[in-house]
Amino acid sequence: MTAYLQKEKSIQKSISKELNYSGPDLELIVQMDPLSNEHMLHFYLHSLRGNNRYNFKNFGVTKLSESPQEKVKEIYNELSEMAKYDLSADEQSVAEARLSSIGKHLWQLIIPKELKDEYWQFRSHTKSLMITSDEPWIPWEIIRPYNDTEVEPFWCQKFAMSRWLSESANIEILPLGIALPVSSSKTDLEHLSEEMDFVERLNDLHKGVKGKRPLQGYLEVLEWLEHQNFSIMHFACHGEFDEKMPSRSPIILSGQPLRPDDINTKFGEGRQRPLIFINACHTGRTGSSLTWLGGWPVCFVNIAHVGAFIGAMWEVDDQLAVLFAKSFYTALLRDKFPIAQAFRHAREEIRRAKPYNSSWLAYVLYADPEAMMLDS
Amino acid sequence: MTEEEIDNKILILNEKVIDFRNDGNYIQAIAFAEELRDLIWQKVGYDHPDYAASLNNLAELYRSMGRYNDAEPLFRQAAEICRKSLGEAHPDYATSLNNLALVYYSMGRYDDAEPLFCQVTEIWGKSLGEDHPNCATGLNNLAELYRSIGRYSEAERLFRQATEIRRKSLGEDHPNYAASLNNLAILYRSMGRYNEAEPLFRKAIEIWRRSLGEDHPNYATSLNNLALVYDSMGRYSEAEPLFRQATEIRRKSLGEDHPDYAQSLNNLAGLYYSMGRYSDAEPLFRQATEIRRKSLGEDHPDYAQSLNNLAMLYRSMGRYSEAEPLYRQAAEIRRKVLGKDPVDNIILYPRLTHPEQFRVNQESNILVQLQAEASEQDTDAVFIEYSYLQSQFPRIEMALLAPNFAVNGEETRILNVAKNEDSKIADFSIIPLSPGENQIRVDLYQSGRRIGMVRKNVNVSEAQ
Repeated sequence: MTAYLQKEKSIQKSISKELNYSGPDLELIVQMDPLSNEHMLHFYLHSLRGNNRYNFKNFGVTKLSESPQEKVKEIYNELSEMAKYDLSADEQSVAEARLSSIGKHLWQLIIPKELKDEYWQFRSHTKSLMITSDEPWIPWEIIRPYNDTEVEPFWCQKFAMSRWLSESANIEILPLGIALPVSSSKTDLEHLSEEMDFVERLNDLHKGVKGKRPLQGYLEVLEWLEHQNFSIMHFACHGEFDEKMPSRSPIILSGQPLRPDDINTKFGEGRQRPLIFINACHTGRTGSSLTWLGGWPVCFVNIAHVGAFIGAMWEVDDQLAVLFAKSFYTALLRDKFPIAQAFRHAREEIRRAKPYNSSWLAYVLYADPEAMMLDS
Repeated sequence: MTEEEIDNKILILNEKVIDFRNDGNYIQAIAFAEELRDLIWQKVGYDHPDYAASLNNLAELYRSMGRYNDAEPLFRQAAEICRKSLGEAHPDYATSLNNLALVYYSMGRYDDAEPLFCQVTEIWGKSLGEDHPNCATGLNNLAELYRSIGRYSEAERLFRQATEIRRKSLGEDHPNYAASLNNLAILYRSMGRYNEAEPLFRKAIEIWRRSLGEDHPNYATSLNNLALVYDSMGRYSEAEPLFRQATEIRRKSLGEDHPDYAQSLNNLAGLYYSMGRYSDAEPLFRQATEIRRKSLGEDHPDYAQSLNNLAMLYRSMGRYSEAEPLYRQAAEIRRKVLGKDPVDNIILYPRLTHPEQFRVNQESNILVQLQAEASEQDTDAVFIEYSYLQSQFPRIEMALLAPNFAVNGEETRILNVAKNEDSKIADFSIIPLSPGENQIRVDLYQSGRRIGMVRKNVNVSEAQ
């Protein structure tokens, strides 16, 4: 009577295709042992997407004659100086030309011939680029490719670009939740309150973000970092870089220094993996430490396992810093751009404001470039 | 109503349920099946096998709609009635347990489904004989469950056993034998063994073509599945005509409102997505989404899959604001259907082992293991995402980066990872090129996403 479904039912699969995220357009892996005396950089390209389809293909090696630490330090000092002052029209043109020449010099010095040749093949169909590198010195963002006939934009302009560190897992979706502004109550930063107010009101950009009042104390910040769930922690303060011990490089919170060594936490095992943005000078830098690498990116990416980290590699102009933060969060949260596109958009905003000021090249993003902040 | 009137109405309702179900109109089919259940209850009461059958049929429709939480208690009730009325050794009791296990399987409740599938196979084996086609069904279903949880070696053994029973009992021209070949091929596809999957799919296609004809939906299924193998292999030009043919067969045989037609549109769109033909993919994804919404309802996992695919497409097209609500809606449906988060983590610890001594030009093996327990090495855990709703188990790509070594063989390995298996091993054969301290490093990825790395610095001595 009703036996039509009573017969034995055998699973007979018909496969339905589900689209899965498959990583950034291109990953450039730079392998190096920072503790070795031989400064050899080995380059690999990897991609599973679109037309690239590299499978950890080796693209040459660069042997540096000595540790680039001193040379890179000079470049960073020069770039820091270029972020400090307003310039006359003539000086502005010179400064822009100087930035370009630093980028071209790095291309010439660092990138092996095999990768240079390949660059002209992949550049047109690569939107997002992630550089996974264990070397602590090279400002990859400001590399500027050129050949006999063409000069390309800086890599950070050309691509939606990010970095990552090899030991950590990255994530495709950054969680929405609490946004925590962090500042110093004693500071000469003129635009600080504007930046803090903006972060506190990120809810205006996306209803999934809940801004809190600014944290100011060292202990309060550590409590949140070590025990609480949140989505964004945004610092606006002064920062310094300790060349000899990068993991001691301080940022200053209400008179108290906070150092990478002070942070003892791990996200991701039952806790959201947040975005940490330290909008302060030198916080994007890394250096060799006693056992491996040190600095804020290492602390937050490799050890604390955050979902994304943003810092500045050298000094940044206070006013441009605020503009950068506001543009970045607007693109990320309101326009829902992937993080590296939001980052590139913000960089472009401050470049348009002062193209001669090196602040626009200073910011560094550690994340999967395609990661989005989504309410999933 | 008189008894005769009730019997007539039951027959009419039964036909309506079958007609609407065959047309893929589950919503209407369910309305009639609910009426039918109430009528049968009125006629025979709670403890009768006919009432159990009506519950079972209604539950099956709920299951088809993805309403697993509605289906499960009905299947359980039907099984209990069968147990009481027929006894625990009766093959029809096994059938009712099989249906209950299938709903657990659909819900990703594999721990609940596995013992039931085992029990079903045993009852059918004892009551009908181990060479009976029902036994092949039991083995097939258990194998499919093992495939879903990544226990591929057990799945392969059972699929082969089921295939052999069907071959012997039904013959090599029987459509159910083709179904076994199809499922074994899907296992090989899940394992990335595309070259072994392809001839099996081809054989299934041929049997279904001969036995059912070129207009039959099963023939379309086999074309669809082979096309997906080509899609996975990047052989897009070979996949496209097969997808198109499958789509057309389903359109003609099942109609434009049927969920299987939506699946074909979805897969063709997925192929265009892989080829970067986004503007060709969009209307097809949209059409598939709309058919699934109408035929399966807004709580079905296949509708969630369509929303997810459309979101991925919009994301790739840079239409981010359109993508976000679709992702959210897909995730909400999946959470609701499963009663838990659709994505879970498998936590494993990578470990790299190597010989004590390396010598220049002397070949050595290194092993990379993914272990369930942390080893003495201080390596971070690797978190591998496992989706309860996807047809493939996580595949981990391992890449050896050892610039001062020559590699004998491939420099990358792919491992399938399962939830309950302790350790997975990949081996690489390497030859040191120069003496001194050198780094060996293996990077780990899942679907293009970096998940971790393990490395060691080793000392290489001069050649002997």
